[in-house]
Amino acid sequence: MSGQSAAYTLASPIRPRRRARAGEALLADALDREARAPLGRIAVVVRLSRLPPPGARPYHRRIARALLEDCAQRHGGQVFRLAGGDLVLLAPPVEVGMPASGALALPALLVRLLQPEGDTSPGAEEPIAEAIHLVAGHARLRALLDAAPPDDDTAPDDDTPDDPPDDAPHAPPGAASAGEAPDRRTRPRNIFAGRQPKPPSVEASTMAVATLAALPTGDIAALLQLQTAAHLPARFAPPATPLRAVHRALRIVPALLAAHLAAADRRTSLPGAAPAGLPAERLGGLPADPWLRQHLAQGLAAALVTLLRQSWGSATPLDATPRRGMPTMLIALPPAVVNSPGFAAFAALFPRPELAANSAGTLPPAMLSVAISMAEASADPAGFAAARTRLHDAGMALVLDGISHHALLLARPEALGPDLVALAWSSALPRLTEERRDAIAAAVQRIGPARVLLTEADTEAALLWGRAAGIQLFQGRHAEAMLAATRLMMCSGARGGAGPDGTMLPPCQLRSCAERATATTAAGRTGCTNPRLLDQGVPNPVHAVATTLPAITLHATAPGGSFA
Amino acid sequence: MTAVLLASRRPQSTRGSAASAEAARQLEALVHEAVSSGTARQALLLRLSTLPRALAQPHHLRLAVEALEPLTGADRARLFVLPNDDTIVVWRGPAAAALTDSLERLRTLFADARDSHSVGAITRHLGLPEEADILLAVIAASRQPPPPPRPATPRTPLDPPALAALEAALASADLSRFARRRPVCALTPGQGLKLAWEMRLFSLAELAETLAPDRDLRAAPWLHLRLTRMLDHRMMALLSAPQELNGAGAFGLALNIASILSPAFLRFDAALPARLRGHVVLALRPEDVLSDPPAFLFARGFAQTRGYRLLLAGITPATAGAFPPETTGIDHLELAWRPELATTTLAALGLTAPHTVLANIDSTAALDWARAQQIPLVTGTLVRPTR
Repeated sequence: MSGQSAAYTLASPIRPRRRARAGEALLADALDREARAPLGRIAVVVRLSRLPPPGARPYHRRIARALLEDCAQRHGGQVFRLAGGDLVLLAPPVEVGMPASGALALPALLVRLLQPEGDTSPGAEEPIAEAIHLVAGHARLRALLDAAPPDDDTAPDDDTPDDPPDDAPHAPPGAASAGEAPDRRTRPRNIFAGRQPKPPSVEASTMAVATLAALPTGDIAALLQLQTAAHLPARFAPPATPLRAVHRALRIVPALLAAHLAAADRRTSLPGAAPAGLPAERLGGLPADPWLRQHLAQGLAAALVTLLRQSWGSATPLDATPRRGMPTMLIALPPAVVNSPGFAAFAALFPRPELAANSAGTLPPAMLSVAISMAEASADPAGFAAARTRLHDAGMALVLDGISHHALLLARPEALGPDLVALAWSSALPRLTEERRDAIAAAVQRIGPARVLLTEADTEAALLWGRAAGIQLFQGRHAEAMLAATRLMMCSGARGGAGPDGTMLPPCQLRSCAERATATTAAGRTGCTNPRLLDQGVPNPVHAVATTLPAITLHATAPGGSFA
Repeated sequence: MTAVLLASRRPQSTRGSAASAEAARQLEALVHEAVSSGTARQALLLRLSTLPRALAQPHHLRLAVEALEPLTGADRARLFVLPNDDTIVVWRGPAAAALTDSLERLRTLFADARDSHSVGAITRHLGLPEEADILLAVIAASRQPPPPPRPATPRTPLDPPALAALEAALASADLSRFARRRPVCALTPGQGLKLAWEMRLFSLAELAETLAPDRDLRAAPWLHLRLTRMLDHRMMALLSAPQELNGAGAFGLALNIASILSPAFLRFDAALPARLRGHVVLALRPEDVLSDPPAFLFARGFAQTRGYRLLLAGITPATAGAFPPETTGIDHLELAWRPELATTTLAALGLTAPHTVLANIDSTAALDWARAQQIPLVTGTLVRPTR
């Protein structure tokens, strides 16, 4: 006995690879035949092209197709793919009055799998999967054929082997709606979210990790960016209750890392110039594999600590020395790095923690803030517990990050005892189903709204959503723009005039002030006559800032620019 | 009793013999039986392997074993001589007089020894099942070959080029000899331990020792995780082979989420015998869930549609409250035993008994805690199903 039941055979031994246009021809032919002699057949349509950004990933296609093919094997029928990646199962007639099974049961299953959190796509008129009778739904199926793009080579084939390396998110160009950041899948640490059109080979990926891990500490400074987070009190009514800079988050910029790899590629492509140990093939960008990226992040984090130790007291943007009236530095470190001798040497530079409560009462009087991703904490619970104790004893704040709204719906980050929980903004948040919205609101209340930091707050929509949820801490381009707008109003040098070396400087713009605040080198601040104010974020305390929330919108930043 | 007869006829050391290996196996089974059924027994352990060479002559060993004779008359007494000559008598019920008699004979035997070895140093009176872990450790130690010479240089952490080489080696290596099974048992009061499912896994420690002896895999945890992806595929391929699952019972697989969403899983699923559908547990890791929650949600829905149960492994007291089953939608949470758990309760950790599997059970204290907390499923070195 084979022990195998046809009812459970999911992987079809026959995997016809039809070109996209062939799918349209088959459906058109079936529609014509049905019009001539109705058989009562039905079509199960799976609109994978309608999945919200970043769109259908290879596993969506693979498993949706496997489920359709399984049904076709059991109950008869034929599966094909339309241009654009949508799938169709053409199934034989189903008896009227029978309970939903076979092809008729598939749409509900597929909807549940593909949209586990409900339909969050804007303007959802048609479900992601549905069964349509060929006769009754003739017009709609015709419309489906007419709507299909003329040809589509961008949709990955569902047979594409993607493991390893893993599924890289594939998003159609222009998938992000105007004014909104793309809804990125939040990876742990979330610093290497860049997409690759084609994942590089395993060897190239591992070599890329090795190349970046071998970066001299000094070169790392060129890959960094500072992002200042803002505190907006619950009753934000300037000038009585001011905007405050919370921390300066030091981030590694993936685009700059990728550029470094590209430069290494160019060097190795010169005849006889390949450094020992590097492959002849191109490195191919940052690794797509999440675990390789984590390994890379861990190596870079250790180097970052060394860099900050070397920059101690240097009065450069990378000086983490805590000073009264200045926001603390925030760095993302894995538990293993926090527990390393290198971090101990860095922590020893800080003064003993002050126990006095800070005036705002929203943050402990932190010497330094350290962000640990929840995934890293879960992977190394003992290391995380030790790191938490070490940070606490040193008067440093623990920020738990790498938490998307999906993660917040699944897990309870507050159980890990952080000082702050960093929730990544997503444009899907305002569109969640009511049940999910309530669950997110409950999670924010459970954590305590004052202990939630909304990261990736790049847009006004993010800020407004956060404010409505009771959140007071924001990090992202929009928060930076608010801080820059405040600086422009307070800064004596913002009107331009003679610089320190006698040259005439133009008046400062919102964008230039915001960009200078992100710079980690003196060169990045060229043109600013008040760098101390850049370090501060905003004068602390601020008493007279005549800004209102809707008045500040940052239009000037383009994706891929230095703000990316 | 066979074991007693064996001992009384034994003129000299049986070090390493097939009979002593069988004695070790029988004693191990007896200890596991005591643990799973909770039956009280007593044992006298005689650590003859620790005697100095001058005192470990064959006639010394024979006399020492003969000194235990009073105890072998106790209720259901059995005597076991392990491969390293350590000797154990196990009995039920009171036998205080026999115990005193045996200890007195031993004292007399070693009274003339100039060495400082006292009888107290080589004997130990144990209670089962409470001190089962001590006996199991003695059995394990008795089987160990002499420790291999330590490598001259410390092992270096796994790095990406070494990982690439290791993956290449793994791709063609025959991994079937590294395949292992670890029982997960249902702990039902009064019924001992019943096999719930067997985890099918590769012994990564042995694999690394064979394929990359100079590398420390644990020192690079993310690269180690990356390696598990390839092992997932090899395991799924192994189990998809014809006949492989013939006669198999419920089993569990530790998989990456990406592996569940791969073509290899579809092949494995297609090859799964129908009678095992609904009896396979997929163990996931929390860092994998958090790395890509949308992929997890999709994989969860797909796996549960196909009848798989899901388990979240690697939960410790520090992370216990972070993954509530009602929001993760996971069937089982595998909590790793730590001695500090003895002073707390499941409820204090934010966990509920019906969903919990207590893992890493290596002591009776762990098993007692599982019983006290009414944890339904247990696994670890001390956990063997009751025969």
